[in-house]
Amino acid sequence: MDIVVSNSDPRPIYEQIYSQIRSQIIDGRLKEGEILPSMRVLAKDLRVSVITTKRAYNDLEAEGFITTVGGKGCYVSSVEPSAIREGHLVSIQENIRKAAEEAKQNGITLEELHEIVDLMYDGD
Amino acid sequence: MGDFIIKGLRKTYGDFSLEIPELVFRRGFVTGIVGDNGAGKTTLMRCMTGAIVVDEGVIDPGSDLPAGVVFDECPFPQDLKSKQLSSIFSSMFDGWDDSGFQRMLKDFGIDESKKVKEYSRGMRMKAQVAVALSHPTGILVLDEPTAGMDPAAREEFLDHVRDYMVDESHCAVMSSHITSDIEKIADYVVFLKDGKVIISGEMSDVIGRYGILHAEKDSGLRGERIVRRRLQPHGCDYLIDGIGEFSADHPDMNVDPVTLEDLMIIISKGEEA
Repeated sequence: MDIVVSNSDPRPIYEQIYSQIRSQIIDGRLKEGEILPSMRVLAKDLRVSVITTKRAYNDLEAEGFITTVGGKGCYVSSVEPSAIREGHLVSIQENIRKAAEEAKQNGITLEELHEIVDLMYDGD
Repeated sequence: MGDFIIKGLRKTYGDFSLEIPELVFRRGFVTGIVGDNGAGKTTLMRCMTGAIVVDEGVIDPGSDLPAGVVFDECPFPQDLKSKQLSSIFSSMFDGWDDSGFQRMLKDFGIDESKKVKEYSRGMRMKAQVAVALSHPTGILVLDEPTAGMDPAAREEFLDHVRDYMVDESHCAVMSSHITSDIEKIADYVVFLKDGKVIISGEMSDVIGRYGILHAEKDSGLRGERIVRRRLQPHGCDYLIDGIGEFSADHPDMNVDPVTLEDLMIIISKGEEA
């Protein structure tokens, strides 16, 4: 499992860990049933405090992405196809929200934005 | 096994008195202790390990296992070499892992032919860590373990503490002036000043909750969120408790997030506002 945490990222470290693991589960890099390092081993490897990884894992478990066994080991839960799709929709919506905001703030019209979306989707 | 709990602690030396009504070190986590020289950090740690006897108070270590210690005054017999330390500790401690101990000494580069009194400070600290990691312990108590170490050595030392914490039955309490080390490793932080605990909480909460307002002068700004004030040559710094709420009430004022070091300095050098 590859995780990179950065102090220059404005988001708190537990959030960076949470979102990277979540993305990897959604896009399949982390497979169903795959065993994750315990929160303590992860804290040691990433050189962060245990409470930080604990928070990230708690959030992931609350959303059903991982399951802990006996408070020690944990593995990737089976994520339903619909949940995966939902995950993507949420993330795409967020990306578009940012693009829409930037467009509005800089006088770029909805039409221009649509054109760009078309280009990006069909292009290459 | 439970948390390490201190209740009603008092230890007085002449003018100085360490007084702690209640303090809990959570098992499974690292608590950092920060404070000026003379704030009482070493006294507290000595009370915790039983090296000194308290005047009042109850200390419940939450575990029957011995404490691992890393102190500036390395408590090992000074004339011994590492092989002799081995035989002493194997008879002193239940569950002594000698091969593990020897391996660690080698990894740490501790010279077999040197006596403890000939060790450099760094070696003394590492030797104590090696001992603490070589037998079952309930708590690791570290008093300024990385003072004088270069950044790479400090990082290596912290890695050993992280190793120790992989076992959730372990508890670690570490004091340091190197606030960046504390920020890296501690889950909880305690600020001591003049023998009293003035701030205590989860590291991210403490850092997240305070802010510093750099003002051009002491404009007489007061309020319940303004907890400390420090006059500077070209202005005045205010310590704000509740950066979010304060910024919401004063959108025109620029409040910066704090580092542990900022907090330390304004608590030490500033005055109550």
